[in-house]
Amino acid sequence: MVDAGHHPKINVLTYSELEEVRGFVGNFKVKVKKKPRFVIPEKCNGCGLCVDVCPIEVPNEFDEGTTTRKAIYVPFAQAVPLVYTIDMDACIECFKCIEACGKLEAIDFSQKEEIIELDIGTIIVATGYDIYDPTPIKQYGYGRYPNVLTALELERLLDESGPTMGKLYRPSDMKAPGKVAFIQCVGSRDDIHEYCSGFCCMYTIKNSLILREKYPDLDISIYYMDIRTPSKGYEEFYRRAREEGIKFIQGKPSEIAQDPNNHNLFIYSEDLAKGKAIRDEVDIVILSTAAEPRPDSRTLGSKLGVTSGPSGFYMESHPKLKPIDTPTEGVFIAGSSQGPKDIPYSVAQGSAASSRASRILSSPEWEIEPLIAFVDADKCRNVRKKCGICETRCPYGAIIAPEGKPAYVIGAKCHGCGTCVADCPEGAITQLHYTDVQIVAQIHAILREKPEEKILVFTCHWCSFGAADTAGNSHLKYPPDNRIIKVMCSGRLDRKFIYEAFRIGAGMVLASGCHPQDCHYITGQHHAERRLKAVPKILERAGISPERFSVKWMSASEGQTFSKVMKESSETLKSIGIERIKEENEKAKPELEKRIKTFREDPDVAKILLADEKVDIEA
Amino acid sequence: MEIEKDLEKLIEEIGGEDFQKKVQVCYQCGTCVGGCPVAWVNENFNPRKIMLALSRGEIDEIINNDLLWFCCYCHTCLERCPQKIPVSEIIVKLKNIAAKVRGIPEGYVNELKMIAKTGRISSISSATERRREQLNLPKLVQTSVEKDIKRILKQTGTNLFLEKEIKK
Amino acid sequence: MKRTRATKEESNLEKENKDYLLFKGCLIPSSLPYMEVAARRALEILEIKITETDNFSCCPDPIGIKAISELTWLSMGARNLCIAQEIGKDILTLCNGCYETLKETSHALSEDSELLEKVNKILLPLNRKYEGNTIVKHIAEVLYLDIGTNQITNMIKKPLYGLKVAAFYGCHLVRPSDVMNFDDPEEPKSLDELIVALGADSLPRMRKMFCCGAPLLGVNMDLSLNIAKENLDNIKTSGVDCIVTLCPFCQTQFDRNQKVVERRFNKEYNLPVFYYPELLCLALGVDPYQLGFDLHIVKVDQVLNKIK
Repeated sequence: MVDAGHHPKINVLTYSELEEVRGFVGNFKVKVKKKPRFVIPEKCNGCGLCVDVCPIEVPNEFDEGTTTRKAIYVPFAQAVPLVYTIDMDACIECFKCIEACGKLEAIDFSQKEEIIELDIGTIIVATGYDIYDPTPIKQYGYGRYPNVLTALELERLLDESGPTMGKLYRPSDMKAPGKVAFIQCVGSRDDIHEYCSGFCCMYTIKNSLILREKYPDLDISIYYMDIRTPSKGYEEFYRRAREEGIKFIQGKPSEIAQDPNNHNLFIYSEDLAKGKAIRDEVDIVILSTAAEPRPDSRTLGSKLGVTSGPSGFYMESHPKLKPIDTPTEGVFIAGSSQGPKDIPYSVAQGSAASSRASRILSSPEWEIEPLIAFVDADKCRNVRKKCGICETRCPYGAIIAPEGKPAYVIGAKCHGCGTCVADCPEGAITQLHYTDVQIVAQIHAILREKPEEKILVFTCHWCSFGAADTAGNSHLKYPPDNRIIKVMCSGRLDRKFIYEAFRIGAGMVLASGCHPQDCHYITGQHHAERRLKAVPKILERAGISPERFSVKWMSASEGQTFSKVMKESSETLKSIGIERIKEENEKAKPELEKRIKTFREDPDVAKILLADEKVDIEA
Repeated sequence: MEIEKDLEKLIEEIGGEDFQKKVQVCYQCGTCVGGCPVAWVNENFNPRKIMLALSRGEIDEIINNDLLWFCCYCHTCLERCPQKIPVSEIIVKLKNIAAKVRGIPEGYVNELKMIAKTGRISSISSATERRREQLNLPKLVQTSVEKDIKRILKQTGTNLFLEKEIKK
Repeated sequence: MKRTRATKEESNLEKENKDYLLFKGCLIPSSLPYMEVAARRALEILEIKITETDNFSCCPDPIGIKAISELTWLSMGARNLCIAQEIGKDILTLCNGCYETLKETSHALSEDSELLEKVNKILLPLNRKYEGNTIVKHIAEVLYLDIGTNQITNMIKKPLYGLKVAAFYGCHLVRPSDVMNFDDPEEPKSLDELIVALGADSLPRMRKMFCCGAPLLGVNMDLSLNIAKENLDNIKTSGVDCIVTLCPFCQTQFDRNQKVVERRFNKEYNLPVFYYPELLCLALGVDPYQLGFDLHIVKVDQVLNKIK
């Protein structure tokens, strides 16, 4: 941190908040709010005379409230920059600090909040995590029993420059403890936070060994459910703790009771190895509490176009293949903002994020996949009346529909899912390489012969096509009557494709994509699901049996599901029978013709339709 | 009518279709045991092991063990389970199954007899009446509550337990 | 469905002219009439109107009967709720057991229409049909939420200054919390605050929410007494003058069985046990001779002398 503070090319903005991010990869315009420190950094020499005279004391956040700080303060000794700040929530404006500062005149109460604008190429989000406050777990008595501490509070007590100069005392009476116990998974792996916080096992073992070194006679127990030591050298560390006589007791304590007379603590737990309930009297209990997302992570994420998962931590673009990237090109995530992780993992991720970022920064131009969408300004109805549907469909903020003007796509932000294309009421948007013409041509080619014996399958690129691929790779058998058309995302699936397929005689149509929440384009699947929901009813009204159209969501690993669905569909097809299909299709034709009317209005698509109709007549 | 012996049918009838599934998420942490008043005074009683046996489908093992009846239904386990498994309520259902298969403890037979006879679990003796009078409490009127109760017991098949004690 | 816990302010709004249907239960009227006396006197002085009926059966017992057959338990409970439904009043119970049975039955049958149908089929020959959503309150809930501790403090005539009390809530007043929804299941406050409202002190102790052990009396006396001993030990070490309960089962366990525990484990506790309304009556100035204290097994004279 100190190195970074001194680096000529690193500008550290502390005590600042992100206000707004506009633009796109390589060209972000960022607004940052700099909060007033009421101290001029250039004039302050860090003498600390102001602190001595300040009459206000508030709990010291850095020491987890075990000590106090003044209203004018530096958060901790190694803070960068080492400049004093006045906490205006605490300050009573007695101005004694101005007097003490004297000729330096470093204190300036007239400072105001300042918004600065920056031109930024790439952004790395590394906002870290918070520690869960275990007060709501009432049976552990944190906050009520003075000798129940969190692991972070213990860290401060073990710090040689901390509030107790590295000595461990019982907070209730400042006596040296004879026996301490750690409790793992407090607020983790339960109904509060479903996930494992990952690094608590190791820091507890570390702290137990520090305690062992400082106090060789101290009795130390660790209550745990599972000790997790997956990284290099961790299991060896765990063994060392056992060698040092740290007691590991498997069992999640049910409650901690406090003797009201002397503040001694009693842990009630099961000792799983013995299979019976035990009671353990100790001086201090240390709770290894869960890591949780910072409370403002969603707000910050929405400014950056970074989404949060169900746990509240930031979502990576892909859990395996793009663990650093986010849906917004040029914005990366690192460290515990993405999920709880320990130091080596955080450092590795930070390095990865900076190299991902420098890949972009080092090239004068940035190549993107050519699958982007563009708007035909002449067709866009936003000019005539307020529409903006496309803008609401794009999870990347890549389409803008300004009032009274045609919508436009910011190419650098578009990821090419095609959801806007399918939902545009005027057919004004086209996705390169997945145009209506190209897809309709595929439908026609597939159904040119014996269409009623075929099952037309639409898949997305990432998941359901992957499932088909897995089925093939695993040599899973299924009947050969299906034909696949791949789009990037099920969000691209226009209802007209389905109507057109039935219009020209398809036996069955199956639309597929990823499972909800798994979408590689965040919300594409959601829009597809919504859009396709109405299809069976419309088909039924037209005279087509609803079972001839189905929608299936599957992941890339579900080869089994794919083959099963294909088998089932094939059986359904057979059970309906060719004759009935032909009959139904004939009956539905006029209605379907109405539904694909806009295809005929598009000269390029119409050409394909007409060509096939000619062939029919000739035949 | 014979007491129901078909265990599988019983489990579905009393526990519901996904009876076993509800406890499959149990990761055997022992929270239920650490807070259990009965486990505290009897080291053979262990709700965690009951959940383990149930999740593995070893229900006959549970219901053939008289320890099951020791659960005092204080709900501490249900409140504290980190996986939100309603341990105490599951034990109630296991007791219901065990009752049908093996009968009920003697104390409960007596309680049931009293309920069938009077609709209440404690009788009103002349001594009670005297005491109530001394304390200026209103006289307890005997209504025909027990007729209703007998009907309920008969309809739910519980009247069969009136004589059915657990045989050692 | 998770409901939010009622706050004091909210319930105070609707307390005007509240009239409850008294559910006496089994144990209190037959074996522990002094509890009934105290409850009646307290409600009378605090102007809580009560209606009575003789048609209630056992609630029934949430431990024994529920263990034998949950369906029987629900059906008997629903029968009692039907009676309240016919009279058209909310139920007030004096006992944690009745409170849990009736509240849980009302909750379960209101949430699960299939179950309600099943139970109503059983009630059909009785010419009864339960509709759901009966409100069931414990006397402690009425005192704490309807009357409020401030009002109680204002009304007392003989504050119990200096009396050190162990509050014993009992399991079923608060657990299962998503059904009972009255006070915190791990760190409840209602009884402590009700005790403080009388001028007495409620002292902290270990394992405050531990079961009293009474449910095991009919199954295994030995275990039951061992659990009672754990409680009595923790209560004794906390340095109190007496125990305060809210439930006839806890009351029996600590009053009648205290001597048994003392003999068996060679201990001496000498802890008088009061039902909260008894202490409330004393503070409200009711003559102790009217309250039937002679029916207590552990003599209460030491406490009465202390608060004179």
